[in-house]
Amino acid sequence: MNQALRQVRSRIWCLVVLCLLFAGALVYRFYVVQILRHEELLAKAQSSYTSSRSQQKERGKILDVNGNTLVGNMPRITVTCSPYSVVEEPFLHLEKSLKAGVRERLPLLRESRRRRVAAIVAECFDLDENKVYADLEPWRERRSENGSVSRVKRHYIMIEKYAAKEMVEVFRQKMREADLHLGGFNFENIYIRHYPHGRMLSNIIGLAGLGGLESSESEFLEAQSSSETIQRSGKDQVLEYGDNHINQAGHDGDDIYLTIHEMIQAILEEELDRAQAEHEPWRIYAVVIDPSNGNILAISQRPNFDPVDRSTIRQDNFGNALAGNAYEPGSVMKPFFVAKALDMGVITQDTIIDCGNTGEWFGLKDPRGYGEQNPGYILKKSSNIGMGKLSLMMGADMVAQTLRDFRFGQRAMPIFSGESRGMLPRTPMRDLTTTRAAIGYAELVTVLQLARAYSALACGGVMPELRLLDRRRDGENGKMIEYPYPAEKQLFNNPGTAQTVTEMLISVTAPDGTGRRARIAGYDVAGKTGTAQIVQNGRFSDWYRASFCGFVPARNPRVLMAITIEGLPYSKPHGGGNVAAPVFQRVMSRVLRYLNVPPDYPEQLNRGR
Amino acid sequence: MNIQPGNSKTPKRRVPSHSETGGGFDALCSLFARIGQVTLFIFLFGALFHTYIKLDQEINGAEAGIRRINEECAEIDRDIAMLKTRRDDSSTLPFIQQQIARFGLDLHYVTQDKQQDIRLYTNAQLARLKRYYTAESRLIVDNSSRRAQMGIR
Repeated sequence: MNQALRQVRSRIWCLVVLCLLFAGALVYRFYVVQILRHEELLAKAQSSYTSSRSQQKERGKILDVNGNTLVGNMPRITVTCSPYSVVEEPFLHLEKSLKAGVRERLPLLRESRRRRVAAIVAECFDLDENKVYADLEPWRERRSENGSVSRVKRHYIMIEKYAAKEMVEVFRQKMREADLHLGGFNFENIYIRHYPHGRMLSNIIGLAGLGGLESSESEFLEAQSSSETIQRSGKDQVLEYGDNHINQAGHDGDDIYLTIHEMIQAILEEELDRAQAEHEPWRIYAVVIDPSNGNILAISQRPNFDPVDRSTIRQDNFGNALAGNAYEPGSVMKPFFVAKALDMGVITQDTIIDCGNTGEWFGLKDPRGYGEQNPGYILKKSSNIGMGKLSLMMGADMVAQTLRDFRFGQRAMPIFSGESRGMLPRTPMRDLTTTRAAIGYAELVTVLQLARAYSALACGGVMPELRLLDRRRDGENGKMIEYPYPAEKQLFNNPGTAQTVTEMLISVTAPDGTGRRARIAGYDVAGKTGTAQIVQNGRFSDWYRASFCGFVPARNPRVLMAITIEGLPYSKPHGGGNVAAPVFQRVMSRVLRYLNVPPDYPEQLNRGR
Repeated sequence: MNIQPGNSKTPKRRVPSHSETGGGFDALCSLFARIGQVTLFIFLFGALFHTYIKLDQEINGAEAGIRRINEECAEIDRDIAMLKTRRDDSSTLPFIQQQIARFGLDLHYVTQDKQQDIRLYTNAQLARLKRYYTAESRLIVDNSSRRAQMGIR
């Protein structure tokens, strides 16, 4: 009896000990899992059901001064797909449950599904059905280093990078109708840059990350994407009651308003296209500004590229050559030296300079000998000999100072990356260089520098800085921030100097002046032509550069335009008066009408109708 | 001496108390009272817990609703952006010129004497303009600089 009782007791003890050991093990495991490895395991669990998703916000737009969109954003959907999830996964759970006879038919079902999906994808996204079918192959082979081949699942193919919403809606509808679920397809909302004007301003605006305003102003244009953490179920659905929270609230990029007028820009682009077709030059640079404040109203160059069709991008048409290329401008430089000489009292408007009777003087040539003439006539006929002699009267230092005063050799638009400063002749200049500098052959300038310098002549000697950025709307709080107008500088000691030079420039567009083709009915036009031979391989070639700079109405200027047409052969019209002045005339007459500028001589307008 | 006679060892006769006479009923009452208290407490606790769960559910539901609405707003924003791009496309000069050519419209640029500026002023701007012209009795000839000073474009 005692023996049996002892046995029972010992068994009970054994059981108790075993239970205690088991409980101890459980407690230990609990301790390890919940306390020792708590952080690690929690993170592991969270990573399996938590994911983050971001929402792309709109990059800032670029607009003209009146708020017309120059570069906007277009919503698009990127459609990608996991071939494995589309073709294989729907049948995975069937493999074990189906009877042996039916299981053999699964490959056929997979093929049929792949074929049907391929047909719908190809139809909706306008793709080749056979290619889509081939792309939907759920497996790919992977060769390891030792040469063995293994099969791996294919989880990513691009269906359509920039699909329109309507296309995607049709696709969803067709898939539903065909009783095919959309698991395995991913639709990501994105914005792509939209250029409603195509080539207009393409070289100035550039492409995001590749130059132009898109790059230089990307600090403001870039949007801040929002990001949120979400918890998903095993079926990849967002758990509405999960711990979902926003990590970062996004905001759109800043909208940048340029000083550009869309309509004036369109006029300029049209006329440059016409000039390009007419003369087939290498390049054309043109800028239209408001001389009173330096606001750029239109700016363009040829050749340019189409930002929508990137296959049009070439090395010669992509960059902002208008700001980057400095060149010898020719006679358009002459008014600055005349102005300086007048202002410093070296000459008066009645001073007589002997231009000779032969038309040749130390390598400088005129079409004919102009004889003794005043500075106004020298500008009107663009006499190189007259200017050469005037420069010697001024002296090398004053000629060099003139270039510096009109801010040649200094950047005109620092927001353009790669803008050229141009080049000034080395000082002290020899006499030969001095005479060449006065006719625009010893210095390199950009069309922007020319426009800036002419605005000083147009506005009584006050030289504004050029402006392209007008204001910016903060994408975060919607506040409008104005870009300031830089301080202006008075260049002349004598306030009448600019007016005197303006009168001389009006005579350039008189019926017997070199710039007569720039005349606009009803308005006084002040301007100067320029024709320069292009240097190739260290020698003057038979290719020319034609320029025209001018402003209208001459005595109360509203618009100023500088244009340079480069690469005109000697055998065809190549002078500034023949080639550049007519373009100026066409652009300006349309711009004046658009701006509704009152004419100086209304009766001429009525007569011309 | 007032000494009570008798054997002191004789046990005193215990007088039955009132509670012991009706004891079963009282105990039951007190038991029910206690059960009632506990039940009340449980109910109270349950009600509070239920309210908490309910409110939490509603907060989650509201959050989910907000998220859905935000998503719908984002979708509407995208639709608006799309419509804006279409408007931009159809208001460009090349497009307008294309349409003029397509429909053979006899349109041409106006000349200066046929143009008239029409400006839309806000009430505040109008009041400022009125004040300016009535105070100084000026003729409207060229007021562009004055308008600029007053901050009117």
